[in-house]
Amino acid sequence: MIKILVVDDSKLARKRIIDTISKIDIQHEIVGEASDGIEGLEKFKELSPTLIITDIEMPNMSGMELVKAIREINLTLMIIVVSSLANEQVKQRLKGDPFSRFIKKPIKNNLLEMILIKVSHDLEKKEGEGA
Amino acid sequence: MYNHIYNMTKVQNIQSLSKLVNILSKNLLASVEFSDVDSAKTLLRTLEIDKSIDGAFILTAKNKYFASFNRNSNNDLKKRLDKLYTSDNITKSINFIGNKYIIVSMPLLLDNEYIATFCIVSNTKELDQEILNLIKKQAYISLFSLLAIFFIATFIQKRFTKPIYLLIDAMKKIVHNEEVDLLECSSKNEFLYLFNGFNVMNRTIKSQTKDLQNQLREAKIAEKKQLKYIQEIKNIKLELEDINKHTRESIEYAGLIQSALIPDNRTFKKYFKDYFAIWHPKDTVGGDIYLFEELRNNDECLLMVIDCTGHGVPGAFVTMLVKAIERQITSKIKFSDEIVSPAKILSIFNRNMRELLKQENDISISNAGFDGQVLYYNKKDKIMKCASARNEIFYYQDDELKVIKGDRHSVGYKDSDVNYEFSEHIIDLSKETTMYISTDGFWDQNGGEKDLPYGKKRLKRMLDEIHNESMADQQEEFLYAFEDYRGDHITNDDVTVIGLRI
Repeated sequence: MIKILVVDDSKLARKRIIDTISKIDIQHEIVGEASDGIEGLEKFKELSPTLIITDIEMPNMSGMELVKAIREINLTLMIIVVSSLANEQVKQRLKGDPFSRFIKKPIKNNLLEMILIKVSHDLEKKEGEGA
Repeated sequence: MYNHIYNMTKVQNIQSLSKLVNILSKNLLASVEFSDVDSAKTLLRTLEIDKSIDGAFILTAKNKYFASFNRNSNNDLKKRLDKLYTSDNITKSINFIGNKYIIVSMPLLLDNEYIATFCIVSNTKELDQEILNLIKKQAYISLFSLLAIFFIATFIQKRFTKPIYLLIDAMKKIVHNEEVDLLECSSKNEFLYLFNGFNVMNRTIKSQTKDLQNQLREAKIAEKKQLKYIQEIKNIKLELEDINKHTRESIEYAGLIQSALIPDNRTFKKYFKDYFAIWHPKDTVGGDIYLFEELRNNDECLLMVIDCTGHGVPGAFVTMLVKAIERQITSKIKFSDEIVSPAKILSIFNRNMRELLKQENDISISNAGFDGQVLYYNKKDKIMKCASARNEIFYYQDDELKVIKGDRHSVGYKDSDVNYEFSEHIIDLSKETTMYISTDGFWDQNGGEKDLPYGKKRLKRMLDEIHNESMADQQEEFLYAFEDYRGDHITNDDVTVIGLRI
């Protein structure tokens, strides 16, 4: 079961992301939502999600700052970074992180589905190894 | 064989002589009994008719001649005969003197009492001659037969066997892929047809073989060429992949550089209540750019939303140029007290672009420029001034949409008036204002059922619905409205939309 935390300053954006995920036939649970990076970091620590979807452009703490803070705690948590800006710099920065993906808004279903499938497989593998 | 014939003939001869002896013996017996020598001689002379009989005689019991007849006066013969007469071997015996004579004798008996011997001497000359003739005959026959056989064989060989062997040889050669000449047939019979047929077949095979060899040769040449082409294509493909990779990497790097020009949106926070920014180049890099500069203090800022000529790499180049000129302009402003004028800024761009790109006359090949909006905002003085080349500026105050139309004049192009003075507009910021500054990429996007541009009307309808929402939500509305309308159509142009709430 994938536990998902959605971080975006737009309520509409969070709703759309959650609606998109709900159409994907993969076991998941939306464990929480956050409207900026600071809230996102708190919820990450509190809820221990297995996947975070975060916007970049957010007040108080941007998505990239959130990613940096999370990586100091967890190197292998899957993070999807979304943005309305076609930000090559962000893309390049995330290239070096095998557990991060950059998606340009608006998020396409098939892309999200592909990432969720991968996360699901990685999770199963981890759980299998843990067992 | 001839001995056998000879002996057989001799036996026949002896048998016939024996018969003669038998026939004459009765009469001769009477002559001897009655000592009638003359009659005996007469009888013996009747044997003269037979030329093979050389002589005949009657010899008494006392071994004396009673009567004789001798065709041959050969004394040697008589002497030989005399020797014989002295022989004891008299009773019905057959003697040969060499091969020359045959003597057939018969004892004459009267009441089973021997009284004389009757002999006939026959020469074998005739027999020999006969045998010779026979031999000759047979020899002639044999010779003739041989000759006949020879001629027949020759004929057959010439007529039948030779052509067949010729055909067989020729066929063997064909089987072994050897060169075969055309066959000639002198006779006009079935072999002529066979030979003609063979020759036709041979010619056809030769011709077809030649064709096939030519085709094979050409096919091999073509195959070699094809392999060469395939290899060349593979090489070209590798080269292209390499070039493509380098090009892609170059463009991605160019994207990195261009995205570095995009302002950190957090700087908007300092000046505006709320904001959003959508910047979607059509390709990795594009001709749209938005620039935001703080000017002389924390209250002044300059926002530019620029749509340069084209999109992709050429468009990106022009954006770099625009950035360079913008830098010059803002640097100058920062070190001066001049009143910032967006209209003047557009005019400066107009002149400088034309100059830098050498587009001051018709000879110039390039024709680059931009459409766009320039906004000067002073937070402290609550002043918003703007000027626009072509594109509108939309803003809401008290739920009412207001539109500032752009001048019908682009910036920097060859046909742009270097002295053109752009219009400047002032926006009253006494009320909360929500502004939208966009390039035409948004409303020019094709889509929907009728494949028509999104249009400004549809945009205004959307703005009417969403302008009171948070800027973050409005950004989402813009993004999804664009995507939903576009559907499967390709993106026409770069899209840039800036939303501000003041």
